[in-house]
Amino acid sequence: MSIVVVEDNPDDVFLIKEALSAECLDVDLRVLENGEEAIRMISDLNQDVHQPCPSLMLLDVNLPRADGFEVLRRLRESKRCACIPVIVMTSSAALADREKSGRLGACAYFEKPSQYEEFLEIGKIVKRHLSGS
Amino acid sequence: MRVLILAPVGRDASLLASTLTVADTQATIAGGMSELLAMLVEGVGTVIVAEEALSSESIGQIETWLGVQPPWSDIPFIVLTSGGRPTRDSNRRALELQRLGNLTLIERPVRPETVQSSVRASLRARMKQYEIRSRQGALLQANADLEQFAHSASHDLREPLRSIGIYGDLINKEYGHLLDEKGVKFLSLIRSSARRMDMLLTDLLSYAHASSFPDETVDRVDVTGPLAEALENLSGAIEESAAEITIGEMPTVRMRESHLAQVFQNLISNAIKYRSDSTQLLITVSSSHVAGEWILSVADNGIGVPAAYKETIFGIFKRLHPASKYSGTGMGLAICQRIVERYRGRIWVESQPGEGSTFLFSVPS
Repeated sequence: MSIVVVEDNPDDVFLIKEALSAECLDVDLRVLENGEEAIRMISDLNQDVHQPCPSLMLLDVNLPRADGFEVLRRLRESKRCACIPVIVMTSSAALADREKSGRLGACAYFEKPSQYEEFLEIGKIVKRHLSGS
Repeated sequence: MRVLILAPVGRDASLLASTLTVADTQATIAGGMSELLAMLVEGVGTVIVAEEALSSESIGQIETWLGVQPPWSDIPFIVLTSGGRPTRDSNRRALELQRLGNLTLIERPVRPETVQSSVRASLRARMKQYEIRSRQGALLQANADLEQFAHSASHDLREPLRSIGIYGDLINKEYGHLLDEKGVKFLSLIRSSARRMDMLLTDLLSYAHASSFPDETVDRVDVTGPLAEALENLSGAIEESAAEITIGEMPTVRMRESHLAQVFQNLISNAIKYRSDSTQLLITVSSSHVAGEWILSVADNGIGVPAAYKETIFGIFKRLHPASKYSGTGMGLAICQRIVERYRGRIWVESQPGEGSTFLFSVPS
């Protein structure tokens, strides 16, 4: 199984890896550091039907070049990737962001916490959505 | 700015237009009421109408149109009356014309200078209205910019702060055993300061967001739902404090559910936080309908608010107690106030120290 993490903050990438290994999730992790790279990945997948789609995407909202909402919109419009479950992650407590994620079809919204133990929750959420798909 | 003229009978219209052209004012003649109404939409400095062109029905039409003007706009009307002695009819007619709002009556026959000076005065007043419009636009923009600033600032500040907190946790978890007593204390200070700053930023963000939703499209909601949500979110604190909560009948109001839930959550959580040590905590949530608005209230039997602080407690970061005694950021009531005022309501407190407080807020019904 493969997971794409779109996240520009290496501190958080490290924590995501910790959280996944805490759940004993043996996944192939691909990290993209900005929104543009994610959009390019989506269009590559559309063009090359032999390339396997990731099982899940972890998507930060505040990204350089193109924000997470733009990536999510492109993903939902694409032929091959529209059904990939997306977990939106953000350090914003803004209700509007949460609502926007829901409207754009994110399957979960993770407000990045400021405590280590709470951050590990993201591992459980990923596990739940991988077993559901 | 142009002047619209409606005087369909005789030569009044063309005479007026030439009088105004002499005075360097752009005049446009409307052929009838429907054309006048269409021209109003395109923007106008002032309107001159001959009285005989105004039936009760057309006054009604204009009144309806004036009713949907933006708040800064108040179009001046100059009506040329027929003259003669005042009669019961002419008095009634004058009253009816008042419905045009910003109205000047000029009696015919009228001298050119009289028309020119009235039009000039009206156009000057109209110019002031346009100035208010542009200033208001700038103000709204400045407000939106400030909200955007608060949003990005608190967001961007949180990122590094989260890392300080979390990696502090990690040092504690993985290297805590290598530290001596002093080291443990310093690390704990770093972690708790990061948490506190995180709370402050979260609240600052909620404050900035409390008024950033447009409220035109808000549907009526039953207050019961968001109130239950607030209680659910506070269930831990309610259980711990053994609070006894009574809830009266709740109305439906035009507010976003999330905003209502937040106001109740902040008020009830305050009631729990500032409870008295010696008495069983009682909290009563109730509603009443007074003079066209709903008043919702949260009453408690806690420590109360000293009279001198009844206003200041609603300010940003205002606290009456050190954080070591009562936790919190001093933003809760400021957020409540901002939300309530967003819906053109008010929030206030009635309290006797030692005998509890009642926080009330109104929502226009």
